[in-house]
Amino acid sequence: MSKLNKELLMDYLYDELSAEDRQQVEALLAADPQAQKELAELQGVRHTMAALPDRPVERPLLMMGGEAETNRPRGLNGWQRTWISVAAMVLLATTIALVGGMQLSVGKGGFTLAFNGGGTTETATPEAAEPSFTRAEVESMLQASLQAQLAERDDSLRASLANWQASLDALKAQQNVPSKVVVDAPMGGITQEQFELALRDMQQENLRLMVAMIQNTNQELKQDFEKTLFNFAQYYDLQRSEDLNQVEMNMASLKQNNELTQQQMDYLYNVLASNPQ
Amino acid sequence: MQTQQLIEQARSGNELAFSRLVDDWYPRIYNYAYKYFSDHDLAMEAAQKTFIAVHRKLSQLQDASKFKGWLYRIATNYCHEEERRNRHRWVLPFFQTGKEEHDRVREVASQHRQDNPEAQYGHHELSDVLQLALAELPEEQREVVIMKEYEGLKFREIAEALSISENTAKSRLYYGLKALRKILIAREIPQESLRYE
Repeated sequence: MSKLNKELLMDYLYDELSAEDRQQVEALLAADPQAQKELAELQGVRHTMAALPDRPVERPLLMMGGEAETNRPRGLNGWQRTWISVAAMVLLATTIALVGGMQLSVGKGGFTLAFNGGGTTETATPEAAEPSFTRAEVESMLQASLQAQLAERDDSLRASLANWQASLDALKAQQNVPSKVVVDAPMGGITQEQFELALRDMQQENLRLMVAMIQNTNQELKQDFEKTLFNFAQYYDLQRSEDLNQVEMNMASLKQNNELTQQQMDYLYNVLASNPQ
Repeated sequence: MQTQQLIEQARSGNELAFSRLVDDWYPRIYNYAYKYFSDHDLAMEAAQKTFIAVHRKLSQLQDASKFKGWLYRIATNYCHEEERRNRHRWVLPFFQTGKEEHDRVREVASQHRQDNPEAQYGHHELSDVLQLALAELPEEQREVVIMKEYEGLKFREIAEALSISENTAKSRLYYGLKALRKILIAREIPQESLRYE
């Protein structure tokens, strides 16, 4: 060991030297003030970096050893994955061609691709699928449901009103026993009986008002619901109309592209036909 | 129980032994990855993938005494993988912290000049600066510095983990420490704290 290099310095710094080598390095250091300075600097960095503590961490639950691990495809590199994808696409296309009865024929005007065994270019008009429920049916169902609920609430209110009326009548009948006690001058000469009758009339009137108010509220609710339903139906119609327009535009664009391709193919065919070499 | 015994038992299919092995080593691998990325989520991801791979490949480990280097080799590979994947990810930070963080450190350093770095920055602030300093190192120096300084691997183990020679490992460590010193000085960590008594 004649020279103190950086590898030896690292071994010394991290105490990975035998006792004999360590003594030799120390001897070299003693004779080299520059190396001493460098060592002190590196020790200073280590001293500072030691202030970075470990972070406490909880070991998470590791999902291993199950089917997910054993069934995972291993050892597939990027190319293998690409080839498998291509093979899958070819298989899918073949399946579609077989199931759809694809036919490819080359004629003078280019090539024809046809499905379903037919070579015609007619576009089959899609049959209008019968919806399970028409809009009118859905509306009438909702209306019927709403009417039934409102009628139920009305009946319930009427029953309550009748009950209250009956209890009031019963109370009145009890009170019809002429009262012997006449208040001397209650409320400007009105008897207690007159006062109670007036009070009952007021209560009945209040009750009728309340029932009328609830019925009005129900009516408003019904109108709001009908309005919402109408708006929704309008929105639905508008959306359908926009979708149909979009489909129509796309079809037109596709047709245009097809025509352009056809023209290009015709041109190429003519060029090839006129120049057989 | 010693690591080697646990490895032998885990290799013979003892899941409990493997679980204890994970208990013993998970915090180390997580902290290695955390210091590598300065990011908890990436560190958790790399650590979890490491132990799933260890479980799958443990039977391939010929010599149980080389477990440590082998383990850190797997962890380093996953760190590289996560680093590459993360490099292509566009992340828009909600708060821009880089410059502000640096300015804050400078401000604290100028206000409280003391010999003791712990007293100067406060424990957390100094840790943040050191973590940032590590992150500034080139990848190949950073991993060697972490392995040696915080994980205590021998140069032989580092060489095994990174498939490099021992001298290359020592050289990378030397330049890594030098670079760290420059970074710490640039971040105004006082010279006194970098001077070893």
